[in-house]
Amino acid sequence: MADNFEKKISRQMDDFKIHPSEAVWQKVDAQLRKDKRRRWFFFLLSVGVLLGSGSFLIYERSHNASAHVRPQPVAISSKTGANTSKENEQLKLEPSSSAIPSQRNDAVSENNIKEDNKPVLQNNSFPNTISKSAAKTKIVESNIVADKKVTTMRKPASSNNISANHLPAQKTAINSKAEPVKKQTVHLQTPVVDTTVQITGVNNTPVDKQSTNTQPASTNKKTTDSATRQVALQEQQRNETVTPNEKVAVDSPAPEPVAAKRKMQTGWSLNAGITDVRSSVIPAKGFTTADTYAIPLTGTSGIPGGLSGLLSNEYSIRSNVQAGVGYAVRFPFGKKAWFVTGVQYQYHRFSVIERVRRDTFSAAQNRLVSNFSNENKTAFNFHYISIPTEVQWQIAQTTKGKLMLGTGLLHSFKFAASTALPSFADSTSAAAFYQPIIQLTPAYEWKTKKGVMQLGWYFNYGLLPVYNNVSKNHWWQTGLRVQYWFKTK
Amino acid sequence: MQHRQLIKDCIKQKPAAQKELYDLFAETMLAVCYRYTKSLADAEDVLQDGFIKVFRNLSAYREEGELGGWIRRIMVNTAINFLKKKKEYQYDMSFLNEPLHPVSDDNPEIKLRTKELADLIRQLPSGYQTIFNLHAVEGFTHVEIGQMLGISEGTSRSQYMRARNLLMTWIEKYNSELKTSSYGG
Repeated sequence: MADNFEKKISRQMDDFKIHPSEAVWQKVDAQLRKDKRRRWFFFLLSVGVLLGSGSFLIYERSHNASAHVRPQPVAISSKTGANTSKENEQLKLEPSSSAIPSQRNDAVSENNIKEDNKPVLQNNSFPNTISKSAAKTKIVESNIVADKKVTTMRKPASSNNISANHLPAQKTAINSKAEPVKKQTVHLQTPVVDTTVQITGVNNTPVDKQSTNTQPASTNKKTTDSATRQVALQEQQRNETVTPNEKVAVDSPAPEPVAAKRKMQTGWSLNAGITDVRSSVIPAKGFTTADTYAIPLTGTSGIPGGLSGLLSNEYSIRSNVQAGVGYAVRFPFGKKAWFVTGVQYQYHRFSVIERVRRDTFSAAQNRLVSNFSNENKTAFNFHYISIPTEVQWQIAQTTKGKLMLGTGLLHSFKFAASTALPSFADSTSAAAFYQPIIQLTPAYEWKTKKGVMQLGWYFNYGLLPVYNNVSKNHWWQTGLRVQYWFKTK
Repeated sequence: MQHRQLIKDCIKQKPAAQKELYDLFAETMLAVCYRYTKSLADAEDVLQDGFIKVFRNLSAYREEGELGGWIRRIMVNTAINFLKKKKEYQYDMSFLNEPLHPVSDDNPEIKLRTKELADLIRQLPSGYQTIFNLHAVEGFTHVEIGQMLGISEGTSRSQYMRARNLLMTWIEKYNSELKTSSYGG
C-alpha cells in the first residue's frame, strides 16, 4: 500500500496553486520583447551580410567579364591620296585582320617569322644618338592584351594629327632586336608614325610585331606598311566618314591609361569624439524647464491663500564622449567611389543635470529671486552594434593621397543601456532600439606600406529621436575617424 | 487540441496570446516551482525562466500530450537546473547519508492542507526534496531521476526512501499535535 501515500501526495499537489506576482509577467514580457528585437537585429545583420557578399560577387563577376572585352583603342597614321585609295581598294579585298594575305605574310616572314612559325616579337629601338632633350618626345606605351594590342599614348595636345606625308626624308636607323616584350616605352622624334599591330602568321600563329618607323627605308618598310594598312583598314571600317581621297589623319582619341584594377578591401575603423542629444544640429545651452508648479501662498493659519512663487524642474543635457571600433569592408563603386559596410561597436554617453528652481518674489528687494536646489548629475550610457552603409567619394587627388567625402547611414541597434542612477533605469530602456544616423565624413587617405590609411572628421546626426516616448532630442556627434584598409592580394 | 489556436498565436509572438497562456498556467506552474525551491522569490525566478523557455520553444511542441504536461516538464527541468546552479542548494544536493527514520505507519493520513503539505516538502533537505518531488509528485522512475540528476538509480531509490520516511514522520507528528490540540481545545 506504499503507493497510496504517493498517490495522496500527488493528488493533493495537483490542486495546489499559487498566484505569482505581477513582476514575473513583466520580466517575462520584457525578455520576450528583447528576443524579438534580437531576432530582428540578427535578421537585418544577416540580410546586410548577404546583400554585401551578393553585391561583391556580382561586382566581381561583372568586372571579370568586362576585363575580357576590353576596348582596343589604336593610334593610327595612315597614308592618303591616290596611293591610299589604291591601297584601300586592295585592302577592301582583305577579309579581316586575322587572315593576312600571303604576299604580306611573305614580307613579314622575311624579317620576323622563324621557320617554326613560333611567335616572334620584334622590337625596333632607336639609336642612342637621338637626344631626348632635343626632341619633342612622344611616349608610346603598347600593351598586348590577348589577341589585341592596346596602344596608349600620352602626347602634347599640339601633335594631334600625324600623317605619313609629313614625314621627313631622313630618319634614324632602326635596330632590330628580337626580344619579346609585353610592354615598352619608346621615345620618338615628332613627327612620328606610330604603328602598333599584331598580325597572324601563315598557319594563323599569332605573331606579335611592333614596328616603329619614322621612314620606310628598310625591309621593315614592307612589314610596317602592311601592318599599317591592316590597322588602317580596321580603323577605316570603324570610321566610315573618312573618304578615300581625303587626306586622312585618323587618330583615335588618346586612350586613358589602363587603371589598376580596384579590389575589395578589408580594414578596421576607429572613431572617437563628442556626442550630445539635441533637438537640432546646433547645440543649445543652459537649462530647459521640464515642468513648473505653482507654490501656494500659505498663511499663518495654514490655508493656501494664493501664488507665492513657482517651482520648476529643470534639466540640462551636456555633451559627453562617443567612440566606436569595428571591422569594415569596402567595395569599389563606379570609377572613384567605394561602398563601405561592416560591423561596428558604438558607445554613446551623455550627461543630464537636473535641478529644482524656485522663483519667489522678494518684497525686500522688490524682485523675483531664483534659488536652485537638488542639483543632480546623471550619465547615460548606450551601447550599439552598428552597420555602416556609406559611400566614399573621391573628390580630389593630391600627389600623396586623395581627398574623400563619406556620406551614408550608420544603422545602429541598441543592445544595452544603463545609467548611474537606478531611478532612471526605465528611461534607458525607453531608448530607441534602432537608430539610423546620417553621416558626413570628409577624409584624407594616403598609401602606407601595408595598405591605405584614412583620417576623417565625422559629423553624425540621428534621424530618429533617442527615446521612443519623446518626439525630438536627436543624437549629434562629431569627432575624428581613422580607417585603415589592408592591401588586397 | 483546445489550445491549438492559442499556441499558433503565441508562436506568431502575439503579446495578447502570450499573456493568455501565461495566465492559464502561471498559478499551477508556480506551485510546481515552489515545491522545488526554498523560497517564493526563487520559485518566481524559476517560473520566469521556465516561461521564457516555453515561449521560445513553443514551436517544438508536437501536441502529443497535454500542453500543461509539456509546460510542467519544462518547469521541472528549469527548477533542477536552477538548483544545480545555486550555491545554497548545492550543499544539500550532496545527499547526506543519514540513517533511515523508522515510521510506525507506512500510509499515514494526510490532514495537512495543500499549502502546509507543500511547505513540509520544502523543509526536506534539497536532495531529498528534489527526489521526492520527482518520484512521488511527478511520477518519474528512479532510472529517469538518476539520469536527470546524474546519480545512480540505487542512490535515487535510497534517498527517496529516506525522504519519504522523514516526511511521514513529520506528518505523523503533525497529526498527533493536531489530535492533542483538538482534545485540548
